[in-house]
Amino acid sequence: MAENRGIHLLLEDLFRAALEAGYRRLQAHKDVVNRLNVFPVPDGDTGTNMVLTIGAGLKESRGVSGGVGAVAQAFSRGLLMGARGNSGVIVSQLFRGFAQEVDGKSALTPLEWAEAVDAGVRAAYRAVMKPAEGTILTVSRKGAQAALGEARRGGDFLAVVEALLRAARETLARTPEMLEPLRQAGVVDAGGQGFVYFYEGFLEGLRGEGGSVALAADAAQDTSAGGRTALVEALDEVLPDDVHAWEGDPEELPYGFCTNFVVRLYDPVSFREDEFRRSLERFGDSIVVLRGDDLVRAHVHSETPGEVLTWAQSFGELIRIKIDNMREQIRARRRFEARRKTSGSEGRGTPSAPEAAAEVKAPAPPNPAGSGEDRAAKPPRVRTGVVAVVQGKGFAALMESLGAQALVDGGETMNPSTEAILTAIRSTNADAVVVLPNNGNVILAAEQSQQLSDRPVFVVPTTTLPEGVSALVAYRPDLSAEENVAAMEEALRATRVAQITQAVRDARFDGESIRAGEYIALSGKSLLAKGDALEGVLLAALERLGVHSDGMLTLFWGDGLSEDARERLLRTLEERYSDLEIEAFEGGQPLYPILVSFEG
Amino acid sequence: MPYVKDMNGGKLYISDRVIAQLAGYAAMDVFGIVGMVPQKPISEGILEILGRENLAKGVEVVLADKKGREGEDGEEVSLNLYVIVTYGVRIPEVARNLQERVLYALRTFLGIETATVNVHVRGVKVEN
Repeated sequence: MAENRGIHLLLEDLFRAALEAGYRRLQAHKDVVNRLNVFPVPDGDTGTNMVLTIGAGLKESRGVSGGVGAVAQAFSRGLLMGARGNSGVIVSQLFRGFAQEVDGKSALTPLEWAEAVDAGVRAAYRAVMKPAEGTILTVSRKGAQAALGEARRGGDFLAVVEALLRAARETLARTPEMLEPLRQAGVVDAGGQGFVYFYEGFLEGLRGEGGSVALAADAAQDTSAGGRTALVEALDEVLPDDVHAWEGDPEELPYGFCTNFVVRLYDPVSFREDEFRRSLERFGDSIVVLRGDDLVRAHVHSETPGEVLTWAQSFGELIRIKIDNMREQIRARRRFEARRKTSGSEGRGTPSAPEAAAEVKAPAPPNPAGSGEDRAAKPPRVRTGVVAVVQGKGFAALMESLGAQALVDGGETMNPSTEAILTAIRSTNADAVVVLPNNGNVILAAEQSQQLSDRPVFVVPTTTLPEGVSALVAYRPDLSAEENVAAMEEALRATRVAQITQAVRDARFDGESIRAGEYIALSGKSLLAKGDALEGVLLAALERLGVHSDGMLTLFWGDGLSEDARERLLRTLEERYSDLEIEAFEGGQPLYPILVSFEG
Repeated sequence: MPYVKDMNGGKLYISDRVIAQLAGYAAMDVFGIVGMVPQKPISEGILEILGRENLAKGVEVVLADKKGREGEDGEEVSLNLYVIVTYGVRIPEVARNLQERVLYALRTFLGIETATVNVHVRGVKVEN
């Protein structure tokens, strides 16, 4: 009987299905992996790179037949050509070794499969000078060893892949102990996590479960290696309910309280998860239940959170509780959006932008910019606060009007100390704080403040002041820091910024020679345009940014640009882009007469 | 010739060698790079693969002349890295990862914000 139930031979079709399922699961968790990415370069693209790489592999292998060996060869070839980023190249090498090992075989036994996985790992280890432990390399090595062990004991495919996953998860949970940058950031390795997601999907594929769904809540379950603590801490994670995006009247919301709790079971052995879930349905909807050993985390939207908790106590001790009034959240969001709309339209095309910027300060008391600390009354407690590093009075006023709780004056050189950022973080009345460095040089100081702060701090790596403004427009004080970070990063992706300044000396930059005194327009590290006339450079830069009439253009005037000059520029722009929505604000930044951002 | 960075009340001098060491060290983490070789080989046809302590020899640091101005950005830094890659990886992608990794190290540890990083692939290591 047992013989029949297991999978003892991997055939082409099942292999293909498992690869597809692995890809789907990884894809569903791409953003989780991106957020973990701190090593070797913290650029938040590991998940994206792995998905693109594996996607390229599948594209090559779909439609190929002729046995597992042939499929693996095609998959490996696709990976090689489509490899993106460090993790992508590693994945391509892992499968290259695998494919070589299974070349020519029409089907695989569990042992053959495990040996091929192990061969891939060994090939990968030989392809780097100093294999850093605590990365996808370690996770895959431990996984392969466990798979080999299980296969030698005669386990079937499910048992072998389960063994691989168990070891991979355990190793993943220990990666912060192995690699210092991970420990500092308090995360597990991104590539390793991607590997685990992929094989989780692979296993589902083998079981014939196929489709893995993009449940954000899975994240809590998946990291179950680090397991129980993750389950508890994940209480702040976003859950898969659409009610938080409720469009209708808040009063019509059927269940008003988002109720989250973690309970430590008195009797884990006889606990029945399905019964627990069914019983919860009495109280409301949007039910999610996750279990890790003796801990159970539950999420329900209910009208009677008190009753839910009393009932939950009959199962065990309550470890954590979090209840949010969703109607109030919706009302707050509406108010905020309404405010934002008014502030946006006032700035439109007004040459006298200084007043416009000053007006939108609305709810804040009229004290000078940057002195948030000497307010008489403390601002109301919010879930997520924002600290922004600014330069120029205009930007200070603008960022404050958009809801930043505290500002740090970057000074002439935009080089504030970690201490200044920490002080600003402490001055906020918020559970967690998002820091907007607004300059590439400040990101490091902002990240250092993460480790020293008394509360969770997130850094959204804005490199220019206009990016900071875009990020703040996406900010919602009533949402969690993670949700805010995601929304801000989304906003940043849609924003293109050009910075226009005057060269102080002759130089070569981005392959072009620049004379002292010339105007230059920069975007990131590339030169968009140069020339003697500000207007010409601005127009050329906008062209290079791909400005079109469907988007929104925002100008920030620098310190020392005359009223006349501003008016002339605006008139030119309105002629050139008649349908484009243009806003102009007093930025007051030094050195850069104009900063531009375009969304669209 | 050292790299010079203005600080409040003084200057910071970073020697070429330090930049080279740092870049060589960063290269070790990059998947697909299996070794570095000196920019000038002992003779044609011999690839002297550098040991870990000598990786800096596989990095050439070029600093553009400073024209006596107190420019915020200091001078321009460009690096030439002479590397051996493993067979069976996509070399342009590995080179790009190397470039990113080195730029990140320069930015993080030395505060050098812009630099040109050229990657010279001097050999491919084939396994049996």
